[in-house]
Amino acid sequence: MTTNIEERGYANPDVLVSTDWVAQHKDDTSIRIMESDEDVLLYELGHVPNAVKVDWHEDLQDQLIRDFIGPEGFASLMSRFGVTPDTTIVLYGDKNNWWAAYAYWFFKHMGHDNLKIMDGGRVKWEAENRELTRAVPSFEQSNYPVPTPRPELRVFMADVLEHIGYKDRQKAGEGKPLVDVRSPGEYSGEMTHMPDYPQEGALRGGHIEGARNIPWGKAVNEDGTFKTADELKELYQSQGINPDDEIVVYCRIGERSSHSWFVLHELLGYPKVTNYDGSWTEWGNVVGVPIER
Amino acid sequence: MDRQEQIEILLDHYENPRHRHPIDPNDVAMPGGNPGCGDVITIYLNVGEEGTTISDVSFEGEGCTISQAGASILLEMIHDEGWTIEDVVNLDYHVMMDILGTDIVKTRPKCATLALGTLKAAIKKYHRDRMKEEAGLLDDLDKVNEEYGIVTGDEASRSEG
Repeated sequence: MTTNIEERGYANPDVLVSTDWVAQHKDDTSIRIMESDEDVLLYELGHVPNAVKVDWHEDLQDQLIRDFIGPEGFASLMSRFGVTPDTTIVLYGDKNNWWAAYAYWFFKHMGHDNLKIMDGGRVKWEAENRELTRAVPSFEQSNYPVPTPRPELRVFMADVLEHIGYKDRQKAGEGKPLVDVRSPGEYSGEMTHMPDYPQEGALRGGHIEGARNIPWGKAVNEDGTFKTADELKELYQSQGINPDDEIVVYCRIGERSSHSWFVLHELLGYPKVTNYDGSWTEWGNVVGVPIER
Repeated sequence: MDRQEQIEILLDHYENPRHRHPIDPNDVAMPGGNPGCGDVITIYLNVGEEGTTISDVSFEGEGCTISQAGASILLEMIHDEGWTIEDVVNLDYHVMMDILGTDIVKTRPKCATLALGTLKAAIKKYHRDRMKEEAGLLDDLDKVNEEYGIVTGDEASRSEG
């Protein structure tokens, strides 16, 4: 049975809220509930009352370059939802909160601090037969200031090369911890894309040199809630990933690794964890970078 | 039709799927999709005696809204408009996305075309089975299976338990 969030020993228990908490606070206008899904029409089918939809593809991505919307775009998005820097944002979604964690990481990268994830995500809310509505709430437009992003939460390909001990594309020293959170089949190179995602594949299969394979799903229980701090620490430390390490996490396009980043950086409080959102769809397609199988 | 109306149609088909049931007996029962990702579908197909018309087609499946609504919409069109085998074979995947609303399904092309791709595979299997039948291969197969005591098809279902 899943224990209460406050009993699980997290370094930062405040970043997680239960479905009960959300049910009690759904009408609180000082918080903003946001749903972010893989299934693009799930929100329209019915959502937590007063939740707004954040479409990771259309709302968070720049459509002309492969990157996120910039600080101006983020300020505009937050203003559209009537959010101010003091607003508490509660994120949830399908697929074990993959995209909720992705939005959480991106919002934090953009400097927003008051963030929470609903433990267990949409599946748990539905399993508990809680209210779903098709009513789309509207909030008075706010004037969110253009933020200064936090570069320390995100790394790019060049940073990862340096992280694994490369200089000028040549091996120059020891690598630092790297966690590949994809499935074992993707890690081994047997698969060049996830099942059913052929458009998000890569020319080479395998993993980044030195990466440990700790699939994101090992951090959650069967009902989608996060495991206890002790279980999570054991999971990572058994693979040589320790609290004070400089850790880079990656997956395919950065959503599953956001989930693992959330576990390591937010729940466990490991201070030096970064997300490489370029991930395998970048690394596996770039000429001249080292791959292991 | 505006985007919201198109979404309402998709949601209606997801919640009230048309032609979502097995057909037994059938000429072909074709599974499609990838169970590992949650979108799965089985198309049941019966072809008219002349081999060019669809006498009945249905589906069963589970998965995201677009994959399941897409199957329901496709099968409703086939039934209501009396599509032939050739109509299905000739239907381009991009047209299927247009029917569902390219703007809505553009990030999920595989989900949007899962039913169409599976139905096309069912038709291919139907043609292949007929070719084998004409070449006498299926008779041979039945004989060999009988020799080895292998039971297939309806006989196998009946022998369960």
